[in-house]
Amino acid sequence: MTTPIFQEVQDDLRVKLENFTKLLNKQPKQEELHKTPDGKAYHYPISYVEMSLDEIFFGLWSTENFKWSAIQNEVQGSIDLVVFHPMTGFTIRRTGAASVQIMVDATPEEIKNDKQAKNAWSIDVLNKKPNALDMGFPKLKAECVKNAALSLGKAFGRDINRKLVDEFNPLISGSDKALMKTIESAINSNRFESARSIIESSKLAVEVKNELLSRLPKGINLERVDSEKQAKRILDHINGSRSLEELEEVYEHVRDYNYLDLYTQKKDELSTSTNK
Amino acid sequence: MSSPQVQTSEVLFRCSRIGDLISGSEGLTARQDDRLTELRIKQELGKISDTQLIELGTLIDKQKNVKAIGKTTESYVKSVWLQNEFGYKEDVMTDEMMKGLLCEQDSFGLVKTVLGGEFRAKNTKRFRNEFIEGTPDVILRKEDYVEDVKSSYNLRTFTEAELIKLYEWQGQGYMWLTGKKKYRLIYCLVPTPEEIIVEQKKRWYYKFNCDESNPHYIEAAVQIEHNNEIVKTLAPEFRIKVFEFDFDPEKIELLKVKIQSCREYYKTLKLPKYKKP
Repeated sequence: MTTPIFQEVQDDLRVKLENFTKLLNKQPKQEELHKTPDGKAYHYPISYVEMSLDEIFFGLWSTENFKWSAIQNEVQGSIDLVVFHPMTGFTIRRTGAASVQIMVDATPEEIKNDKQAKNAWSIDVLNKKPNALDMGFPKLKAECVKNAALSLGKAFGRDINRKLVDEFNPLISGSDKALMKTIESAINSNRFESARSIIESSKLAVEVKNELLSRLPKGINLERVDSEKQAKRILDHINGSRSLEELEEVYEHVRDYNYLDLYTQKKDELSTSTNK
Repeated sequence: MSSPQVQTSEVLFRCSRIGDLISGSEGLTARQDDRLTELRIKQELGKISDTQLIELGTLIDKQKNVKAIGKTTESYVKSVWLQNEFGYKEDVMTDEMMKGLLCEQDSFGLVKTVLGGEFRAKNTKRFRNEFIEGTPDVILRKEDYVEDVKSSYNLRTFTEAELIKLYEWQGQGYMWLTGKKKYRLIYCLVPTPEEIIVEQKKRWYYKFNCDESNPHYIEAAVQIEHNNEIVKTLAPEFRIKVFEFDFDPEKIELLKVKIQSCREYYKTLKLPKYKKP
C-alpha cells in the first residue's frame, strides 16, 4: 500500500521527470540549425549537440562502445551515448549509428557519365585519398553521437527534417489548463482560501505557483500603505492647488516623496498666473 | 508651557493612556470645590445639618481621592513597569485597530474635504515632557489646533462615537505637549480596506468548516460586503463627527499630582519572591 507521504514523493518525482522531459523536447533555436552540404535538409552541428548535453545533463555524459567497420568505400559505426538523468541519477544509454564515405580522387571526365564505371572508381581502394580518414573517422564518431543524442529529444534535433512530428503531451501537467481555470475562477470570485489551497496542493511548476500565489491578498505592511496613501494625497494636493499659499502647505513633505520637481513646476505655473 | 524634548529619568506615561491614570479619581469640580468651602465654613460656625455633614464627608473623600490609585490605574502602571523593567509587552492588533492604521490617510483626506483648512500631514514626531509622552496625529500649522482622527470601524460604531474620557485626557496631554490651545477629536467613517474584509470573511469561513459553498457563510460574506458598500454611498458630510475642546490647565495640574502618585506606586513594584512558610 502506498502511504500518503510516499505518494507525495512519488508524485513529486513524476512532476520532476515530466518537467525534465519537457526540457529535452524543447526545439533548438532556428539559428543553430544549419543546412546540409546539398542544401536539401538541416542538421544540428555536433558543437551544439555537445554543448546541449553539457547544459542539460550538467556535463554528466560520456560515450562508450564505439564500433566501426569498413564496407567497400564506407565506414559505418555505432556508439553508446550514456547520460546521467539529473532527476533520478540513473544512466540512460542510447545507441547511435552512422556511416561516412571514404573520400576518393575525383572521377575522371571520361567515365563521369558511366554509372557503373563511376561506382567502380569510388570503391577501388587504389583511388582512395591518402589521408581520407583523417577527417572522416572523427566525423563518423560525431555523427554517431548526434544520432544517439537525437533520440533523447527534440532539443538535440530529433525532428528537424521530419514532416510528420508528434508533440510531447505531459501526462500530469496536461490537466493544467483545467486546473488553471478552476484557480482563476476561485480568485475572481474572491474565494482566496480555496485558490490558495488548490495552488499549494497542485503539481504546477514552482514559478507558476508563485505567480498565482502573488495574486492572492498579501500580508499588510502598514508603513508602506500609509506612505503610499500620503504620497497620493500630496500629489493630489500639488495638482489641485489653486494658490501658492495652498501649494506651500505640502512643501515640507515633497522631498520625502520625490515630488520636488513637480512642486517647482506647479509653483512656477501658479506664480505665472498670479503675475498675469 | 510646552517642553517638547525633556530628558528625564522618571517614568513617562503615554498620552493615549493617561485617561487610565485619572480613572475614578478626578478630584472635585470647581462647583464642588466651592461647595466644600461653603460647607467647611458652616461646620466651623456650627451651623451644619446632618445631611450637609454627610455631603461634606463625601466631598472630602472625593478630594483626597486625587492621589488614590484605582484598579485600572494600578493595572496600567504595572504594564508600564513590566515593559520598562523586562521589555515585556502584549501586542494586540484587533481589526478595529488595523482599520485605524490602514485608513488614517483616508480619514485625513475626508477631514480636509469636509472641514477644509490646511493639508493634514501625519505627524511622526514624538513629544515628551517631564510627565508624559505621545505622538499626536495632526498638528495644524496655521491654526492653534491639534487634531486626533479616529477611523470608525463600521457604521454602527460611528453612530455611537462620543467624546469619551480617555480621548479627552489624551487631547489634554497632546495640547500640553505641543503648546496648542485647542483640540479637535474627529471620527471618520471611511470604507474598510479589502484586507480587513477578507479577514472578516475568513472568520466565517473557518466557522463553517472551510466550506465556501455553505449558505450561512455566503450570507455572512454578502452582508460583510454590503455593510462596507453602505459607507461608500454616504456623502462625506455624513461620515464625520467632530468634538472640540480647549486646553485646561487645571486638568494638567490634577494630572501632575496623579502622575506623582503613580510614580510612587511604580517604585514599589517588584516581582513576588517566594518565601518558605
